[in-house]
Amino acid sequence: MNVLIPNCSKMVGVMPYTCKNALRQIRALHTATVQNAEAKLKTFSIYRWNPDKSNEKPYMQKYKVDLNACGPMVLDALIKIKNEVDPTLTFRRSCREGICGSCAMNIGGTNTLACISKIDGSTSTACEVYPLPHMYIVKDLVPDLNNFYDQYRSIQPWLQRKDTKETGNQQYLQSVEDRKKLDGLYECILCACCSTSCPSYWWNGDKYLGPAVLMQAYRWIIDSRDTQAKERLEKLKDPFSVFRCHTIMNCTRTCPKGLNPGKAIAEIKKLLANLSQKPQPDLTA
Amino acid sequence: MNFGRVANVNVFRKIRQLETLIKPGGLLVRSCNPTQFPKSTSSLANLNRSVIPNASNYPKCSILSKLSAQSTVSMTQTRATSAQGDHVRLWLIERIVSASFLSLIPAALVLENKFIDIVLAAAIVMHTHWGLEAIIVDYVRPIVVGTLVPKVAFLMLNLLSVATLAGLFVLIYNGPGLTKTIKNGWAIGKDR
Repeated sequence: MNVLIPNCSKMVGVMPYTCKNALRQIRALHTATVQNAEAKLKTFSIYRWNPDKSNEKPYMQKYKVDLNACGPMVLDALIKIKNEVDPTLTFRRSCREGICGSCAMNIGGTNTLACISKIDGSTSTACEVYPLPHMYIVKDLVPDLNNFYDQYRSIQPWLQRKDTKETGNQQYLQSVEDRKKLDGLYECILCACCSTSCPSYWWNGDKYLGPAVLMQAYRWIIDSRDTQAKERLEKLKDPFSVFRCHTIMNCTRTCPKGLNPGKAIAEIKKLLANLSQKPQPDLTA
Repeated sequence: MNFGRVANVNVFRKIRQLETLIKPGGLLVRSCNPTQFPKSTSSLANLNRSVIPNASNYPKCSILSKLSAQSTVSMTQTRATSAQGDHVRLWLIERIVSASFLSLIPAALVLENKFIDIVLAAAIVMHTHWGLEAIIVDYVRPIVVGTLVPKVAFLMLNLLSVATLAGLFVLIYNGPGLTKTIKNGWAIGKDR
């Protein structure tokens, strides 16, 4: 097409009709798939709130998106709306493949990642998109995650040892079996889907650490290379940090990565109550 | 676009933060002090500091800076207050009481023994007391209803639990007994 257009402009005086037809045909070729199928308009009902208009209450704004001209995931639709319809729509996104956790939001009543949740094909129902529930909103679909990150910081999510080796010379050893204990824990991307689905976290989010952070706490507690399990547990024994968990299990149900924070919290409780012990590391050094 | 540029700047800053985390001898050494835990301002001060002024660099994001400042302040306060106390033993007792019902209820129904009735009455009252207490902690929060109402709620709960226990004891000592009363209830209309 790009090649044709300059040629055409030269020929305008000579054969305008032939040229137009040729262009039309090429255009038709490119858009054939779109034109053949009828426009499949899906309604997206999206939570809007603008902090700059502080007297305006949050409202749901409806957008119609042609699913035939849109990618398969909800994030594709959101990006399409932002690009083509309403550039003021605000949301977080980054990797678009479920590994960064930026686009966590409440879609159709479930906390999930917009980038890995498929758009429901039926056009009779609207797709409702809210920000993560019970969080302070910065704008539209962007929640304030500062408290969440502060809580993550408070569990000191890094390897701690009583003996610090000289760096660059030696490695901390870990057996294959010990490494396996971290599977299902280390995959967490901290998207906050689980924490914000937990009623206990809704009511006491200031003091209860929430499933995501507690699963990471457990991940560091049972790491065979970490020697500070006792100190870590000591910080969690108060009535709120862990014990506000009532085993509701919304966390496990909603986790977009298929992890089980509920079980990790139960394991922390068992460790706290001395019902189980952290196993000795297979390899020490 | 502006959004993209802001995001980029943040990404670079995050990478820089990560570098300070990874850098040996920096955080790793200082972090081992357990007393620093409830305050997110101690060993992580540089992390925190880099979060808040970041936002205030952008005049349009003034609300961001406000939010983060507020939440970190409230966070340090509440974490510090909540990090006291030991709930482990109470949790263990709660679990034991809950599990004991599995054998206690059938035993009480079969044996109709006064002693088992007393144990069952006490266990039921404890179990419901903890359950209702959890509901009060969750739904009657000082941040929502003020500081007075939760205290009243807890007082009412204590009165309710004491009254329930007293009532069950009256049934056991002066009436037909706890399990016998339940059986009588189910037998209503049977002899017709």
